[in-house]
Amino acid sequence: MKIIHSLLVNLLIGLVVFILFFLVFEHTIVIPPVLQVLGRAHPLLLHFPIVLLVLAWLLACFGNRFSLPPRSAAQMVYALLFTSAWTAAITVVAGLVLAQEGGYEGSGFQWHKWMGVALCFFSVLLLIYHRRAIGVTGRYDVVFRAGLSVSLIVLVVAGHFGAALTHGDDYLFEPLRSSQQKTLDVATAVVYPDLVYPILEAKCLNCHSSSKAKGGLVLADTASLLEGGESGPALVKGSVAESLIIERLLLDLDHEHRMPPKGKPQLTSEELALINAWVASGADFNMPLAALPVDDTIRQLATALYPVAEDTYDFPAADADIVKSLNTPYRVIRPLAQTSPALSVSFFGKTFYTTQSLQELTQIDRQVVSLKLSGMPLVADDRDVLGRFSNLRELALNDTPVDDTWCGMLAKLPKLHTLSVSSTSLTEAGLATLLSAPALRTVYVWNTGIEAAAVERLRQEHGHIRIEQGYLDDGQTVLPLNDPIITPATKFFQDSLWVTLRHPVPGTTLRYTIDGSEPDSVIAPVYREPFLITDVTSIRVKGYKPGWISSREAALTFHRTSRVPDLVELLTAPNPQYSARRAHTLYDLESGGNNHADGKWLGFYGEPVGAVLSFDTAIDIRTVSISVKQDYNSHIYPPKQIDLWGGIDSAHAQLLAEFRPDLPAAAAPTQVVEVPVVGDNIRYLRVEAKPYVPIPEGYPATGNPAWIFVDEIMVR
Amino acid sequence: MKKDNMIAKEVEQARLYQNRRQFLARLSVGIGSAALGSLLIPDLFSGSSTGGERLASMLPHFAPKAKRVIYLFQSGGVSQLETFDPKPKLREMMGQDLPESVRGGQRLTGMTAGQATFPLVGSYYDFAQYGKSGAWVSNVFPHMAGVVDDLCIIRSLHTDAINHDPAITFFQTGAQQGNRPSMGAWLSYGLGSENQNLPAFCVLVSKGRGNGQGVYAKLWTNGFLDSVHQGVQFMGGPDPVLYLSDPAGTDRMSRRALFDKLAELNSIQFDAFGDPEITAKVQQYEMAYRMQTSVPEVTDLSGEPDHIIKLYGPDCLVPGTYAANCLLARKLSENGVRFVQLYHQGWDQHDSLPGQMAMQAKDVDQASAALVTDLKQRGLLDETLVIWGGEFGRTNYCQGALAHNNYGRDHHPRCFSVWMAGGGIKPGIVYGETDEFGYNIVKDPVHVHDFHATILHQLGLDHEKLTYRHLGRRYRLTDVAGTVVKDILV
Repeated sequence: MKIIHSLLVNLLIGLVVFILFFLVFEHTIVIPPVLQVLGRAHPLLLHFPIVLLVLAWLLACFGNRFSLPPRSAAQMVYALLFTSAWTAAITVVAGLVLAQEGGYEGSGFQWHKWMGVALCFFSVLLLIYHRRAIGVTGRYDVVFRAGLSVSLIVLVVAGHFGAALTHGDDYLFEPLRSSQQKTLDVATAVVYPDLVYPILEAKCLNCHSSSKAKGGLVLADTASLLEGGESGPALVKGSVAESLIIERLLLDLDHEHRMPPKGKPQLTSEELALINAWVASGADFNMPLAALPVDDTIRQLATALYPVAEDTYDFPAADADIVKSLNTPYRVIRPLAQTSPALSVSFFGKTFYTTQSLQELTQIDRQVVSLKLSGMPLVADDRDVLGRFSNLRELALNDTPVDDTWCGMLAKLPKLHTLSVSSTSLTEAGLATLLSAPALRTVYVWNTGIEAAAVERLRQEHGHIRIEQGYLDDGQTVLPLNDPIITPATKFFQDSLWVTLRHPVPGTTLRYTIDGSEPDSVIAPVYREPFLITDVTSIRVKGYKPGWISSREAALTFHRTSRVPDLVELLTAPNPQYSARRAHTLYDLESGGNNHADGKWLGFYGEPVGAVLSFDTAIDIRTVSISVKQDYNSHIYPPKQIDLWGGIDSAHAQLLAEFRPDLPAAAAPTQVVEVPVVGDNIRYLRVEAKPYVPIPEGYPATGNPAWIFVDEIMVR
Repeated sequence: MKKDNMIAKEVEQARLYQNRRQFLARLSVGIGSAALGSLLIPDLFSGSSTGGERLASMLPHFAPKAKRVIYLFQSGGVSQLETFDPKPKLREMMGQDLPESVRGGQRLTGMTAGQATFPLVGSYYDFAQYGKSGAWVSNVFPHMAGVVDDLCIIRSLHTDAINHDPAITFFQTGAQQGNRPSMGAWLSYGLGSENQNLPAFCVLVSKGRGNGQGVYAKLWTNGFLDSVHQGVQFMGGPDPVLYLSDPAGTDRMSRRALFDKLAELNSIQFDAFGDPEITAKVQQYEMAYRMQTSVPEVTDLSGEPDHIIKLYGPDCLVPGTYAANCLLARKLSENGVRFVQLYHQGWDQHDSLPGQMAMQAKDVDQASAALVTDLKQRGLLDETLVIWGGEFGRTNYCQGALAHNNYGRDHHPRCFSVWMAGGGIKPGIVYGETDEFGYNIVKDPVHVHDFHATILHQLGLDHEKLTYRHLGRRYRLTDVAGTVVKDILV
């Protein structure tokens, strides 16, 4: 035993000398790969001295409580201390060999190294002391105990820095900090420090920080990032293909150069896409996020990765009673959400607006965050009142008498980030003043008369503010006007009728004719006021306006009846589907439209139309007009023959006329068939209209019986 | 004196009798413990949380991105293959039969079930990429293509229904059977109207020139919610809201006196019976009175400047057209109406698709793009959610005779396209993908329930929390499904 013991002691001394030698000649030593395996065993070996030293300390400091014989206790402590010193020495050797691999720099590493070496030497010293001073008596004096405690502290320090090398500097307390998720403030975020760097910090800095730089690459600051490591610079600005960092990130998981290596936490696809997009866009370290357009890849990935910071309001909620008393149908106040202290106010009804309405709001001026005053007739006094809303974020002043004199006050609102001043009399000078507002992000200046070039110039100067100008009428688009409208739309009247011509687009000149000729923009009279017609009149209208193509023509023919019959009876029954108002349809002076099923037409199928018109006082008739529908494709044809019987009463009726209307090849949707007739002293008039059965050759739906649709019978 | 007492006693008896009648009527819901409960708490069995008509707090659950919605509903089923979803493969395989592997057992409508073959037909219209986003839009919608950088085009919408009535009901109410409240009614219930002088939910209908299908009042019904949440239809013409203007011979002063007296009588009734419908009635009269001034102010289109008319097209001043409805929708939304629903009919192209789509596009294209531009230039687009789309898409095979310039398509529920703009939706992106046949969805499907959940989310409402208790269970717009599509949100 004694021989082994002295052998081991000598070897220990040898190891200590070797460590010293190693420390002195560190930089000139080259370790062959076989011994590098020993270096890799350092994380395994270090566990032994830790446990042994702790046990030795426990026994030495509290051993007297175990009621062990002192000499045995002393021997145990010596044995533990001996093996602890031995394994510590081997661990230190292995650690030094491992350090030779390179990639370990920085203060953390230095602390670990020197603390570890110190621990080893200290253990040896304690061993010597134990041998000399304690050995036989077994009494542990203060010096020994203090020495052991100090070595324990050195052990903890060395161990802590060692763990920091492997797992990262804040490994121990990381769980406490990761519960706060970082939120993204879009307005102030800068792409590199707030988006890209956190990814590098979380996934790369464990092995590529200044204290531990694998491959010579440090990713902790921008200069080192650009400088790169052993393989070259990490990235080439603007080129994804040439950037080593991207290449390593995209390698196959099993590839030896794959970053992060297999087994370490990997980047998510969004993080990868973000770094990719950032490098591709030029790897700008100072680009603010807000300068990128909303649909930019980096911006969208940013919102995908981090929750957007909710606007936090640091003011207390307003008194609920005050809010309730201020709430009216024309001044609506509502909180933004159920638990939010922020209020949004909207004004409605311009006739009910007074300066006092705005003045009363100042009771809650701290809480108002969004204010809508669009369309309200504001005055100069309102300007000063408005300046008191210090927490205003969004303000809408569209279509108000706001002008440049307001811009000074608006530019002073400290939190205002969205402002709409469309349809106001703002000018370029006012807009320039506005843009100096501290928090402004978006301005809407449509319909303000500011030149597009001026807006573009201001956009260049203030890159972080979005200025929307909207649709500008450059005079290039020329559209046709829509059809003029002739009222009344009904075609039949009794004695006289007031005709009005209208056009939906204001400022249109209407030119019309009443003689059936086509209206033009030169000769035809201009419509100014409603006019009276007293007989059958064909009106044709067209609309003209500078900057527009002229409208299509609208035409309508009005027919007059001199006497409305006092009673009309139908002799034949109309088809039940198209029975409108029955006999009444024929003398109600209402014309049907282009749709035969609109409930204003009487439809007869398979039988002739028969009607009897009775007049209480006798009249002389020269014309009988029948308004019929024509739609050949739907089998609707004018009558083949119209027979008229008239007289004082039914007994004395005589055949007055037999009329065959023309059958044109292509027909207008409606036609008024005029039957010339001579009949005096008529109080009873019987009209019979026979349909085409069958429809003649050469016309659509030939061979079928035709329908007759009639909506009015008039006499003159 | 005795007579007075007798009369008083009779009156009292009559009142008790009435109350007994009400009590027994309510008793039909539950016997036993019902007795004391309903006497003490009149609303116990009326199926609502407070007083019958409104939520205790009509506020969003969290800070909303959008405050108002304009829904441009294209009724009939817009063909996605001719508008927003280009499929060059269909042009290559023109005339060939639809492979069974692609069809995957999809049920057919009665109109094409009898067909022997299902020949594929490519789009008549050409597609091109537009804007910075490079989204593909066909040349049938040139104006919408011009604003594509503000739109989020979702190509992967799918629904369960295959025919118009159940499909459009599903989109509007969240169920294929039509007895539930529509989307606008839910929003009116959950958030109320921003402007107390206009209804929270307005409906505008325009006829198209293509093959149309009907839209019915059940699509904007209040269902089991209080009748104050029903959609108010604005007609084209001089009297936009029916029965609103004073009858001939009366004036505002006498109307006001009438309402005041009515309110007095109603409050006596309310003291006697405590029926919440009475207060709802009084509130509706008051709102109608305020609408008499606010509606003409809002619907007056005569003051619109020329460049607005040019932006929407001259049709925007002709009441009853889609363009006029779009302009009116902007004005209503600007004035605080929470949900404006437009319907444009005529997209049901079972035949003559190329020609009819051109006609429909002429009605719809310029005005829809103009609405987005107009809202944007007034700074309203960020808080207004604009939606454009139909109830389902159309098939990639031809219905009826096939010629390269004349063909028809049948209904297709499995994939179709809609777009959304504003209201916190990401602009300038295309979401979702369909396969090369335009038949199935391959990426990011969005079901109608998910669509509803997302809309409610943008308005600050959790779709699972906006509920109403009816017939023993809680109902909500998304029924029992729906997840918010987070990828399209800013």
